[in-house]
Amino acid sequence: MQEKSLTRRGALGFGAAVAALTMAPRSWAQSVLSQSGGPKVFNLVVEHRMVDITGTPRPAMTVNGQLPAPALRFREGEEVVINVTNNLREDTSIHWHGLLVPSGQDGVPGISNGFQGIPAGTTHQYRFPLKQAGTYWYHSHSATQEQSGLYGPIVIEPRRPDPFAYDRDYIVELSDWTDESPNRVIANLKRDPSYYNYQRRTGASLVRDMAAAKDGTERAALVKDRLMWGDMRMDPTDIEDVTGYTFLVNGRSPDRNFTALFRPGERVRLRFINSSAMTYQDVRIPGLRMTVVQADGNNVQPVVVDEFRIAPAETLDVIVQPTRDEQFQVLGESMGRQGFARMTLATREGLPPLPLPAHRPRPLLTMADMGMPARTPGADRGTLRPETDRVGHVAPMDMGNMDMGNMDMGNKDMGGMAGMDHPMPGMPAPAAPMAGMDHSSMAMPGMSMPGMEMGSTGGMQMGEPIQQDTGAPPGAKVLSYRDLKALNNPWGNRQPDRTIEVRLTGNMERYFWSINGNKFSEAQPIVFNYGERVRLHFINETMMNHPMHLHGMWMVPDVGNGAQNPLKHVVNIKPGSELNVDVVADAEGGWAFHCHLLYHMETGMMRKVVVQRTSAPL
Amino acid sequence: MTLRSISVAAALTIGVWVGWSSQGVAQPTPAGQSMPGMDMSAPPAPSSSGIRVDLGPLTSTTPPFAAFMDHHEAMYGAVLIDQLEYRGTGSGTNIGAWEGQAYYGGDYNKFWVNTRGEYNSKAKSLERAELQLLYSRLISYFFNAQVGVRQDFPIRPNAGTPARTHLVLGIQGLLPNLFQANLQFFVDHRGTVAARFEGLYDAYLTQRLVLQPQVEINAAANSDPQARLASGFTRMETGLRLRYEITREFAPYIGVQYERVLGDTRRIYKRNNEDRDILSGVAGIRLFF
Repeated sequence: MQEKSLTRRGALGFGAAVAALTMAPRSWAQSVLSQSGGPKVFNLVVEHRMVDITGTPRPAMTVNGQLPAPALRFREGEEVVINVTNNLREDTSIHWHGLLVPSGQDGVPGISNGFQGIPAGTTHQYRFPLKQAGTYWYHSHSATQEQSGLYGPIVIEPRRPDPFAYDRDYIVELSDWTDESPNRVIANLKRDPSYYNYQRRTGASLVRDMAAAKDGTERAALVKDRLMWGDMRMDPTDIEDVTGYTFLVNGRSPDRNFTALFRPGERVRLRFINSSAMTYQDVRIPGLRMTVVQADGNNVQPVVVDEFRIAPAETLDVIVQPTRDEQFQVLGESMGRQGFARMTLATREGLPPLPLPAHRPRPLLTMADMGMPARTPGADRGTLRPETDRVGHVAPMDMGNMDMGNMDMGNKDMGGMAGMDHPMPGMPAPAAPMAGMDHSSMAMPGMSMPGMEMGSTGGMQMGEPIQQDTGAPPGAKVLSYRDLKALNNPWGNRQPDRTIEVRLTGNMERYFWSINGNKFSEAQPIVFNYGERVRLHFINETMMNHPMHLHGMWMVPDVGNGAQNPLKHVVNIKPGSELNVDVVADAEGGWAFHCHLLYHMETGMMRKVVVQRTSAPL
Repeated sequence: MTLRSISVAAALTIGVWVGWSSQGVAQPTPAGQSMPGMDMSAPPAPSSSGIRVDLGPLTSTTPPFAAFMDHHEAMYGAVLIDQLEYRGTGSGTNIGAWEGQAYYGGDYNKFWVNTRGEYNSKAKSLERAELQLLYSRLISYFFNAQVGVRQDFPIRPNAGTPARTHLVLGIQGLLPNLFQANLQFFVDHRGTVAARFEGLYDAYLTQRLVLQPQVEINAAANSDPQARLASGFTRMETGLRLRYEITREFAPYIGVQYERVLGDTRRIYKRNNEDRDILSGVAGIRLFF
């Protein structure tokens, strides 16, 4: 039964709200009701269901009997009412990811104004106007329910047509499914952070690497590298915390291949939404180039790419134009290469899917991922009272024992290196040229360019802050945040009123995560003053990527495009790197601010942000 | 027979631990969060940025989930029975042995249980059995400080295994190059001081085949004639175990174990005609939940 409704909804791909009316099983035939004159009303019922993704029925959580939840189609400017009925045996909540709604409608228990979750057996009514257009999504913000299936797409039709044309429109919602219970996953990570890593460096892989090494120098380097990682008590193969996932497109596993139809020559809009709990996807469509037209719901100057990496919770709209009557595979390969998400573009249904390609080599963490960006002692952390790191949140970095080619990192006197922005000898060079950056912005007082900062404390910026290495073949164009140029950035490139340091911290050995050395359960809120432009100075002191998400307000990462820096709701912060992200605090109330890797958020990498009017002039 | 005794002992241990920890843990209030006597209606406080803001109803310096989640951080537990094994010495004396740990608590503060013991199949009795109940606190990225009690159970009170209760002070964690280390100091009611260092390493030969070298050294500052211990180094153990992780939870292994009684303690053992050097082959199972 379940599978049938999934299949049908998936096959439609677009206009799913309509599909809900026409094709739905009885359980959710009532999901959308239009009231003449009043706001459009949606009814969502959250419940426990068994689903069969991998061949074994497992408990899941569904909305109106569906996984993913039904697509919600809104129109910019209208007001909607959404009744969420909680038939679970526990509290739930629904958060409208990326939507600019009043705090009280944002759906985060304990953070959104006056909202403490939706108790079991009750119905909660959301009501908000739609002030924007684009591709978004919604999901539970209670515990780990998102991993269990409580996520679905949102498409908001613009009041005025988009500045690009297309003939067909498909939602491509990527997600990661595990047969394990999410609570079990956390418990496993807590007792052994390497629990899911079956790609460790081993004695066998050392023998293999040594045999493949060309000469003694290479062999010595291999041994030195092993010793260095061991010395740091870190694991360079720790790319993905959780494995055992089956990757889904619109709820369909690669085996149950979702097919989207086109006629040769048509322009097809694909609305990628990464609803994964933990998984970065490297997306490509062999044989087709993609024109990126929208990121996180905001239109951007079209840019043609061969592939892109999409972080959890990001959205990216692309247009493809297949001209031949041919089958194309849309592939998402997880960053840690544990599997593929796959769908097919074809001119008719029912074709046998193309074979999945071999996996690209697994990436390893490198020296660049353990850069030590400068910290500013006594920097503003945005809290009302002074805040200090708690014990065990920052890994000791004994650089004295590291062999870094010609560099003596043990030398604490870094004064002479101020302004250095070159890759270190023996270190991977930045993948993207700096040429595209807006150097005029450097003239501004107090402006600091990511990637060029040197602290007086002796910290070193080494990580390339933006470009992701997807392992693409030479010559392939991989999307970078630097390619994202906003078509409409209402705030321009004005200087910030205040800079708040946001260090991403945590303990990989004990599996807890934090912001500025404080877990959510023990941290003060970060306070923005209403109307101010805040610069969040992100410093990633961990060795993992963190897709940072701020509710209620746009984040504008300084990717070097000046007044055309893009507006995003999720900004990925690479390991060992730093990035400035501006926020105009134009929404009063309480807002969640967190890493969108579910288990990082759940174990502490989250804050409450409060935007409030000041009593005194700034 | 042997295994059953061990599992009974282990079950007993866990039972004690569960019973104790289920009484709940009062989380100490981290400094600087909610200070006693702090008046939330006080005049606007200076923020760390120097900007004065109203402490409106939305803002407090307590964690946002304080009311919602009863101020408790999430608690997790684990049980690791690192050794549950049969030791054959070839001389007819066969030993069943266990060594394990369990904990329950938050990220910083945990209740921690260590237990170990040996069962002698020839004597049909326990050789020694020990239980530690500890409070464990994270003191740095890689280390816990631990304090608590160690109980040695009386097995042959007049022949080397009297009842002993020690205070335990220890440090436990991960040394560079991923060596797991546990250093403990013991003081009993008569002021006898002893120390124990344990170190082990999990060498992953493949993704599931793990070679685990392990060493333990015991020393005492005073003699304890009843326990047949002299001052100085008393006993060392070293082992090499090769396990296969069928799952992370369940890993059978084989290996060798060598025990040696050291220093003046060795003379005491010799006087009592007890084994001073024991080399055994081992086979067992590692459990991790």
